[in-house]
Amino acid sequence: MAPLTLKEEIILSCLLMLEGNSSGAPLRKKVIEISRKNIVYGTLYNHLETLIRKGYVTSTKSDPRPVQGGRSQTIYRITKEGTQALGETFRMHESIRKKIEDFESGI
Amino acid sequence: MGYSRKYTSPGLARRLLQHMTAYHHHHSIVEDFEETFQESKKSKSVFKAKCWYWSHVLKSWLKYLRLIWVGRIIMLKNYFKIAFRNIKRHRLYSFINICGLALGLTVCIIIGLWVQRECSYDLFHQNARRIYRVEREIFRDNLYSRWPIGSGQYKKFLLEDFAEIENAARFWRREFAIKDTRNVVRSQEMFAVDHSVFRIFDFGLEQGDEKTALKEPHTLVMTRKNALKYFGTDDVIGRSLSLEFEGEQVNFKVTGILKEVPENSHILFDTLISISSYSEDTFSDLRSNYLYTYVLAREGVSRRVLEEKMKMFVGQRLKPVYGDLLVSGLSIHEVLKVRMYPIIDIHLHPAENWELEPGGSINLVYIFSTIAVFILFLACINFINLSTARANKRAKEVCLRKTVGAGKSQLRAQFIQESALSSLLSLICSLVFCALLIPVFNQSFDVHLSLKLLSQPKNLFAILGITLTAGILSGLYPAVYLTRFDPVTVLKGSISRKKGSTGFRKNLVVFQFVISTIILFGMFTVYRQMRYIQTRSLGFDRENVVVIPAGSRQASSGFEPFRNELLQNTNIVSLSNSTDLPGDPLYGNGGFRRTGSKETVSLIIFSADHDYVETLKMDILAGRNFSREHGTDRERTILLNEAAVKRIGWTLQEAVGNRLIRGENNPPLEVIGVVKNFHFKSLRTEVEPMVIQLLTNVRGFISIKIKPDDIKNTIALIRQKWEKFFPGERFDFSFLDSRIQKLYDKEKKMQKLFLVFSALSLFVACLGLFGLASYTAEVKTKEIGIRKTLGASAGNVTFFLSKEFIKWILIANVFGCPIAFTLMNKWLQNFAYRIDIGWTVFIFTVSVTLLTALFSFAFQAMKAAWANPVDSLRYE
Repeated sequence: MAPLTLKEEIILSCLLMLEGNSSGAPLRKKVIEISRKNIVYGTLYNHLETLIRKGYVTSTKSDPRPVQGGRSQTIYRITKEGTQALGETFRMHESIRKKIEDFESGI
Repeated sequence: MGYSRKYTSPGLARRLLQHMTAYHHHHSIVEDFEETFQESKKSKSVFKAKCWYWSHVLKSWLKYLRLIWVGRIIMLKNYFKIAFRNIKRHRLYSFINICGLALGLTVCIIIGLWVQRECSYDLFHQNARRIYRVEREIFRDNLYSRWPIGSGQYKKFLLEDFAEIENAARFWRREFAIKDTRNVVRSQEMFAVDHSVFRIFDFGLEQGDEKTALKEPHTLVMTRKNALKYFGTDDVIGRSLSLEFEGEQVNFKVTGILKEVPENSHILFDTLISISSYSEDTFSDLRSNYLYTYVLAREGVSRRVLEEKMKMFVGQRLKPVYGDLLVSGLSIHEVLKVRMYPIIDIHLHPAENWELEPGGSINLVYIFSTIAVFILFLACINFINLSTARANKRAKEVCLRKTVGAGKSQLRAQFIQESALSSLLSLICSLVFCALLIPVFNQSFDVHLSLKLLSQPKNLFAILGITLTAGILSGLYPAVYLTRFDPVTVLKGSISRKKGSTGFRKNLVVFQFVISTIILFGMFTVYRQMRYIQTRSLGFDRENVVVIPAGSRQASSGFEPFRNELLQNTNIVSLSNSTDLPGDPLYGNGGFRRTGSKETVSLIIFSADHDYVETLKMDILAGRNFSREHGTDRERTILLNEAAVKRIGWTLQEAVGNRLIRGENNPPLEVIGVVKNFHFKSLRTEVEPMVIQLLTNVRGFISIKIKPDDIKNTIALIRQKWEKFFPGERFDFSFLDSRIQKLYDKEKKMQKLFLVFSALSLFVACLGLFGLASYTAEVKTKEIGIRKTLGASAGNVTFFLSKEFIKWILIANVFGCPIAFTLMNKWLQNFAYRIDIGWTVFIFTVSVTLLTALFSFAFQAMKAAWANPVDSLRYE
């Protein structure tokens, strides 16, 4: 299983928080809210591409918008592998946190 | 979706974003941006939302452009590489393309420069568009004549009567004998002008005061070159030059140095003298015609308004002196009009007679511009033809490119780029051609073109523009045609040659030869008409006649002894004196009526002495010539020409002995003989009715008929006698036939140019045909091989290959000849005496086009026919 970078972890977490699927704009908003840092669309799309390539996220098209020239939107969905990878990362974080607590109490 | 159903983001920014993301189908970028924009609009402000949208789009756009251009430049490099390889690989085709286009461009550039020069005449004057020449149009006896010259009184009356005229100046061309500092007498043409000339025109002075330079009588201004000629120095202001003025030696004070008059001026001069040197009496006759009057109209006054006002001038000032024109109840405005001719139009619309300099011709400008465009067009057709013909060869390349992802627009861009490259190479070649040809062109057609003109930015842009347009346009059809191939079919190996493209090529070749046929037909017709003019009997013998101008008083007094002494020499046949010469404009014109009749007939008045008819070997049809034995001939006798007799309504026999009255109260003149019509004007016009009266004092020109045996020594003898009897008088001889030839200078120029252009157009068309023939031979190699194996002879194969081309040429002739016939027939209408376009012209045109075409494809056809069928069949 390919490891996740911090940004990818945040994006996956945000997707999970958005009930497992979202279009680009709400996802970006959530990412900014959680990380308290701005993220431009270019960066977000790059990370999403990587996540799609790793198989953690899939993208599907919604129906076109009902206006003249309206286009369909891309909906990003977290996959089972994505959820596992995120769980794995959390577990890793959890063990690290425990190690830190042990270390601090030992002192 | 949590946002409005309508797009509300900035339209332009959204379109830019859409353009950038056209190929990004994974993400719905535009939609995401829209959503964020709408949220931002609600939570912050519209302005902030827009700023956010624009800043993101612009940042991305810059990156996008960089990416695109890097890609494009890489592709451009590739296209150029392929283009150069193609040029190298197909040397023959490339040569035909580049050379043909270069020829077309060369013709275009040279003609363009010439047209630019022709249209630039007199534009250097700041007030050019407000300066007019006062001209008259006279409709006398159904004959129209345009008179650029008029009386010296016009200036005064026009300035007095019309507030619309700001200023006026007169130009009077005079010839003066000048005695320089070394007492050498030279004859020089000068203009006597008003001092206002510098206010109207921009001729200007290098030294001296323009306001006062020519104000005082007996003052002159001259160019630096002339100052050096007469004084040996250019520091001449204040010095004097001795002129024979009104029969006396008068010192003229130099008051200024003139700037060189630009070559594109319709008036050329190097010395101007003050017209105030003449007494006012000189100009008192309002009816006389001798000088040019120019006016400067006030700002905002149009030509139409001025001409309308001139009706008043005609009615009040001119009517009293032009009473004789008012015959058969015509009003003065019907027979006499005063026109304001814009000076910028004079060069291209010159008057037939009395023009200051030989003018140009607007028709020539049109004809050659059309020819230039046609020849360039022919070269472009070659390009299209060869490119589509070679399409099959490049079909695989095109389809492979398509397979690996090239779009139609990219492929089109590639082919257009290739043809633009070829056209740029052609431009380089054509500039070399121009450098070589412009001196030859200048010499042959007596013009002053220079390659330097090309360095002017507007000309450079024009040439580059024409070249690229020609290149792009001629690459357009091949580009569209080539990109239409279906990759699957082509890459499987079966290239279907569509009939449509062959038909298109055929049409183009036919069109090329239609143009060549028209130009060739034109060339041959002009050539035949010129030959006709040169050989047609003019009604007099123009050969071996020496002409010397004899205007001074000295010539008048010494003429008789000069004549008698010359006639003693056996090489001198006869000698005579006349006011005018055939080919020169005739000044005199008067109204005559029969005794007892009121009907006035307008006749040209020609004055000559007793020997004129004999010297020019004219035929007397009835009656007799002037004779010294008849003392009464000096006063009241005249000769008429056939046209005059016909006009008056007599028969030849009736005319002799009958009487005519000139004007109202003059004594009647007896007609003693009728001369056969002779052409004293060019063959463009019909022989006009003329009366010949006896010249009583020596004026105008001395004509000497000599024997053709020893012309050089005879001329030397005449010069010797001239110097003996008229010391100090200039011996400025010319031959009558060459003077007459000058009448047809324009036509001769046209003949030469037609010859050059017909050869060029044929050459370009043949280049195309040669290329196509070689291509056809190549495509049909297999077919030829099979035909030969089945028993066809080389002759059969050559015929098989050639018959199609011959068919095309014949079709082109069928279309071209009637068009050319119509055009040339119209041109011939300019001549009162003209050839009939007979079958010979048609036969000549057809045979020349066929022969040249045969020559261009026969070689290829024969090469293919003689090839060994084994090699042909092994091919492919």
